[in-house]
Amino acid sequence: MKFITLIKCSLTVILLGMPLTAVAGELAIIVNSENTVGNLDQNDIKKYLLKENLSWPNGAKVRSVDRKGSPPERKVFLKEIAQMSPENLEKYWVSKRYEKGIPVPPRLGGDQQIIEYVQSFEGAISYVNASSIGEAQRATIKIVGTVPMP
Amino acid sequence: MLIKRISILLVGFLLLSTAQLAIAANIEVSGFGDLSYGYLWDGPANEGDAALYKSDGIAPFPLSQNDGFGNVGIDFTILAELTDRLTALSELNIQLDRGGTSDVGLDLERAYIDYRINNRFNLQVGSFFTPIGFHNRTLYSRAWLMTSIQIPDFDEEELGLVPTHSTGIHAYGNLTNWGTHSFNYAVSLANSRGRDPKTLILNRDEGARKTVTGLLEWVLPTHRDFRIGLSGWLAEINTFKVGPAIGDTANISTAEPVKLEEIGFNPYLVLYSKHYNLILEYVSLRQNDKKGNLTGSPFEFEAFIGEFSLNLMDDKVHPYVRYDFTDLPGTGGPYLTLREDEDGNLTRKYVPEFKAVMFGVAYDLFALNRIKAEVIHNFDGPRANYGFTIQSAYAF
Repeated sequence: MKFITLIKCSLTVILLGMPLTAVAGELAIIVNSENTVGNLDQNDIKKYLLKENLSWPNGAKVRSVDRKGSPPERKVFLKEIAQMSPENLEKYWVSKRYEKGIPVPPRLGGDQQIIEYVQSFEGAISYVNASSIGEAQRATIKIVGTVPMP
Repeated sequence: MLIKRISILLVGFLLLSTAQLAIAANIEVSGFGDLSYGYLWDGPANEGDAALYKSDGIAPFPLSQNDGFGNVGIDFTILAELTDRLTALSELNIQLDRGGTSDVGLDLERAYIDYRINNRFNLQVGSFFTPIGFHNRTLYSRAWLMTSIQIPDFDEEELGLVPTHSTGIHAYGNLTNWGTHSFNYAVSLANSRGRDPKTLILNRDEGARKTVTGLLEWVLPTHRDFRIGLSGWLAEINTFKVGPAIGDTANISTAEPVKLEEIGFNPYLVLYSKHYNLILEYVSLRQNDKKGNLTGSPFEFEAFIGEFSLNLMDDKVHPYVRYDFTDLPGTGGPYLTLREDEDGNLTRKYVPEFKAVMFGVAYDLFALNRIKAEVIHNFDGPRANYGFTIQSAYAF
């Protein structure tokens, strides 16, 4: 019994440390593969994407990236992660920039642009439709969280 | 006046050039402005105070009392990311005198360099908003950031009731070892306060004892934003003895020196939720006579601001009620009502206390444009009994 319990605990620890896989129909939260952070819960995802945390545990600067316009991915981000309307998010960034001198994240046009950005910067974090991530790209980015898309 | 106008034009040109460069370099230019129309009625709340203000007030008109069309000016913030860990911020305010009719001034609100080390510890060096309280750090008189219209007296730079700006070094960070709760902290060491409360010592404080501040803010993991903060400061003020009556004056070359130890306490509670918001902030200040040549020590000052607002109609409409007061010692104590002129004359001016209730509504016409309407009733002082103001506040 103790041995079986030990096996179960070990498997749990191993699984928690493994990168997530995302399936089509999910919003994938992605970071650069050099980023040593493990899987993130919703609270931590929000803190990094909204720059409440400005540094990763390894000291790298958090580079949050947003999407232009109102694609379905951004709507899910606003509703489930930021929990703000687009207008309130606008206000949030203006206040953040004024109070703390934090620049507003860039807004890129599509999933591929975002993936390329995240591949380029160690501290980058953003969100994309999981189905946009190609096999070849999985070597240079890491999925640290997922949110179901309607 | 010509030199001032040329300076303002040069600054405007520099800002426009910076905006052009922002496309290539990692520089952001942002800012705020607001335009208002105010109407006053029912005469001054206190005729005697109004007469005293006319003869010995700190400005031609009571500060931030809106009467007719008003333009407070434009505030520019330039943020430059120099490296991953180094940011430079400067904030310039081309402002119209809030107690006057037409004087335009250039005000350096902030100019600092920020070293980001990690979430727990960072440093700012330069000129910054004194890290005390809530309003002074986050809302500093930028109308778009506020729900209500009336600029609070207690952190009004022209009054200097609290040390609103500091030049020195400031350490801050976030401590997150308590589950989902976290604590923000900020400590600073900065130049001393000036001989009069309005003067900011931005350069060369001639060896006076530095001002020290401390702030601890508990961030609760509920609602949109819920913080409870305690902050305070310790300062030494070197000034001169001026007679107790309003209008008394003394020259710094011959007046008796005065040394005050100032202790300030500034707690606050801020709650932004889905349906309502609440801001409560209190300031208590005590000045102790260190040389023993003043009567009436210690001198105490208190202030309070309380605002409650609702978030209606998809968070676009915000009706609110607000109550403020400031309570100065005696005839203002030995320091808070002094003003120094160019010839080194320190004069005791009349600084009115503030006690008013405000009702209004703010409407977010667009994300970056807020239209407000406010009625204010002043319980006492030289301001009109009642005032009505409409304001368009914007950010860019």
